[in-house]
Parts: sequence; structure tokens; C-alpha cells
Amino acid sequence: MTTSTFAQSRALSMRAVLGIARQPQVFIPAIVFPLFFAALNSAAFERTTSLPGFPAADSFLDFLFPATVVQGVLFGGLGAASELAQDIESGFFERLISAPTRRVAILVGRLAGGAALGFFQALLFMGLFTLFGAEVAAGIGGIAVIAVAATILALFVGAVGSAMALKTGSVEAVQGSFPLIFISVFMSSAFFPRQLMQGWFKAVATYNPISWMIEAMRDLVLVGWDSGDALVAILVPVVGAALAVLLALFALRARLAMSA
Amino acid sequence: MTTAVRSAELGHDASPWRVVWEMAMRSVVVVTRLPSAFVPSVIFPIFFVLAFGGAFSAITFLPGFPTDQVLNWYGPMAMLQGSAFLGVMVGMATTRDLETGFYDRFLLAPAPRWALLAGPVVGAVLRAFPPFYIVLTVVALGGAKLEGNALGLLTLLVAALGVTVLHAFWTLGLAFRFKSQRAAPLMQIGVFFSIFLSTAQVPLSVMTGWLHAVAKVNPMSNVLRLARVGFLGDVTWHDSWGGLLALAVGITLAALFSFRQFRRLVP
Repeated sequence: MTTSTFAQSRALSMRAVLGIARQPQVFIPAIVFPLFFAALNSAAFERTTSLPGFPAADSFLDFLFPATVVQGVLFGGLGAASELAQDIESGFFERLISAPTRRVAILVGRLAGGAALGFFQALLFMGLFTLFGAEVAAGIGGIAVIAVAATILALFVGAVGSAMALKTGSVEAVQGSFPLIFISVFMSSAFFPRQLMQGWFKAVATYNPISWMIEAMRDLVLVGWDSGDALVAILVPVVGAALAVLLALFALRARLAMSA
Repeated sequence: MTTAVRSAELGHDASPWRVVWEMAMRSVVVVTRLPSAFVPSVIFPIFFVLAFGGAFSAITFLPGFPTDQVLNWYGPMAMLQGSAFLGVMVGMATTRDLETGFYDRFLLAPAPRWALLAGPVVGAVLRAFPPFYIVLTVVALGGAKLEGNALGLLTLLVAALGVTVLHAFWTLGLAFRFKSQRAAPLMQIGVFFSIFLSTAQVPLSVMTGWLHAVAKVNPMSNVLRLARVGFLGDVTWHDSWGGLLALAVGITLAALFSFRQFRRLVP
């Protein structure tokens, strides 16, 4: 008896979500560390909001809001992706492909699990930031855009991690890409406004797509609704996710050819 | 030449100092055999220098910020962070030896127990020198200036090596207690919290709220002051004694902790 690709993807997605939910070590650090950084930096850099050129913000916490969401989603997405490498290392992946499973459902299941975690993280962070006084000026529309962008971003990082997992079959290799994500977030305008940067660092941050996404989200938080900002906030992760999913599909095909 | 052969050559006549030296050399040799375990101790501080120096360069315009060159503030912080992680590597390497059973061979050797503890710590200190000078060069090229000259370099070196020793003893204690590489996150988190909950990012006069209260009593703030004193002006006893005291007390407590856990490992 065979089932549709959709049903198989849904079943594998549920497995991925439950797998993440049952392993707090996968998602807790991706929640705790960004929140710790947010609490730390808002206390350390609060006075910088008075610097000339700093965007008009009620507090540094407001300013950090989008960066914290993005940081958490990027870290969490990688943790979720390493679960696929774990499947390969443990031999579960071989069992899946020896069963009449649609190949694409294996990948879709994992990516959906990571995206669900991203969505959950975005809502949790927005709830906690609101509790501590932060406010999204763009209202419910802004909240929806941030949640959608975070979900697609989780899909992007999950696909990158999955491609790496399929290519190497190693949990260590997937987790080893953590510094790359760490560096790409730090080398952006995530934690300080680009207007106050100088020299080569400002140039790097200017051309870093993470800056584009975070700045668009930040405008929704600090200024108010703007369709252009909403579009950029969603378009950047969409383009990244499309490319990354393509990469993951190629890696899946190569892995299947290797297993055949 | 392998450690096992060297150990056999040493025999029963080896002095404790020779044991310490051979243990230290064993951890130094790892640098050439396993560069991936060492390279991050250079790369990460350099990254932090670049990231903090680049992103927060405008912070020097804040009233009360003690320097107009941002790397005078963040350079020493990044160097202490790298030094702390070199200490953490001692604990991580020991958990690997404990898990593989290699450490049992040390315990069977006719060597004084204190030498087994001191060896890896001395090794960490030796390993700390190359990253120290490499990162210092990057910091200097980035525009930081040692106003305190040789004495400023000395206080920075003392702070960096002290932090390495402190974290080496602390993580050795954790390694003996948990006997598993799963203790690695606990070891790293210790460094992370001790450094970031201090004046790592901004001076006390700039920070606000809960962080100000925590950083004020965190001994690491004094150690950072010791490390930075030469970058912020002339080296004075007033800016140095707190860091020296914090390191002395911290190292003593961490050494006692590691020795106590070691005694639990080998009654």
C-alpha cells in the first residue's frame, strides 16, 4: 500500500516536530542564548540610543527585537538540521530509503520540523519582548510579517544544514557550521545601527542580506507599517530558502545515488 | 615519540617536575597533531576583535567612555576570552582521556597526584603564548595602543595567563566530576557568563540596570581592568591590585576544587 507524498511528508514532519519537542537540548539553547544576549545588550548598550544617528527607539530592547528573533531562528534551525545527520549516522535514513518512501518527503519532513520550530520561537520571543515593554509599531501586520519571515528563515537555515548533512552524513559537520552563522549575524547591523558603523565593517554589513532583513523588520518594530519593509523582510529569506532547498535537493540526489 | 614511550623512559626515577613537564608537552604537541583543537583559540578572539571593534566603534562617543579607540577596550576583552577558552580545552581534553580510558594509565603511573593536575595546566599556559601574541598583533594593527608600555604588556599577560590557569583548574574539576565530554557545554558556559556578566562590553559608568549590579561585584571586572590598564593610560597599583587579588583567589579556589574532585576520582 502506498500513500501520497503529502501524507508521507506530513507524517515525517510530525516525527521531526516531536523529535525536536522531546529533546530540549535541541531547542532550549536556541531560545535561552538569544534572550540572554538581548537582556545583556539592552543593559549594556541602553545609553547608546542617545547617540546622534541612532534610530529613534524607545529603548535598546526595541532596537534588538528583530535581531533576537533572527538569531534564535538561525541557531535553532541548525540544531533541527543536525537531526537529519543524526538519522544518517544512526542508519535510520537507510531504513527510510529502503521503504517505499517518497524521497522528497524525507527532506520536506525535516525542513517542516525546523520551520515549525522557527515559527514557535518567533511567537515566543515576541511574547516575551512584549512582556518586557517592547512594542511592534506596525501592529498585528508587523507581527505577522516577522513570524512569517522567521519561519521562512528557519526553512533556509534548515535547508542549508540538511544539504550539509546529506553531503557529509556527519552531525559534527553540521554543527561545525555554527560559527559561519554566528559570524554572518555579527557581521551585520543586527546589534548596532549601520549608520554608526565605519570603514570595512560598515561595507560588509551593508552588503550582508541579514542586515537588509533585520533593518526591514526593525522599521516595522520602531517606525510602523510599510509595505516595502514587509516585502524586503519576507523576500530576503524566501530567496535564500529557494536556493538552499535547491542545494538540499541536489545533495539528496547525490546521497541517494551513493546509497543505490 | 609517543607519550607512552616517554613515560616508560622516565621510569620510577622521574622527578615530579619532569612528570609535570612531560604532561605539559603532551598537551603542547596536540597543537601540531590536532590543529582543529587549537586554531579556534586564535580565530575566535580575532573575530571578536573585528566584530566588536567594527560594530561598536561609535560607542567611544558616549560620555564617560574611557578611550577614543574602541580596540583599547575590546582588544583585551577578546584576548582574555581566548585565554579562558584555552583553559577550557584542558578540561575537554581530560574528559576525552577519561572516556577513552587513557587517563587510567596516568593513574597507574608512579607519579605524584599533584603533578597529574599541574601538567595539563602548565601545558595550557605554554599553549596560551602564541595566540596571545598573534591576537595582540591584530589588536595593535587595528589601532589599539599600549599607553602603559612594557608594564601594560605585563599586566595584560598576567591577566591572560591567570585566566587560562583559573579556567584550566575549574574545567579539570568539572572533568573529574562528570567524567564525560557531555560536560563540555557546562565548561564553556562558565567562561561565557563570567566574562559577559562583567565590564566586558562597556564600563560600569555606561551600563544600566541589573547588569551594573552584577558587573560591579563580578571579580572578572577587576581582571578586565588589570588587562586594560596599559591600554587606557599609565599602569597604576590602584587599577591593578583588584585584578591580581581576584586571580589569586580564583585560581586558589579552582585548584582546590579540581584537587577535591580528583581525590573523589581516586580515593
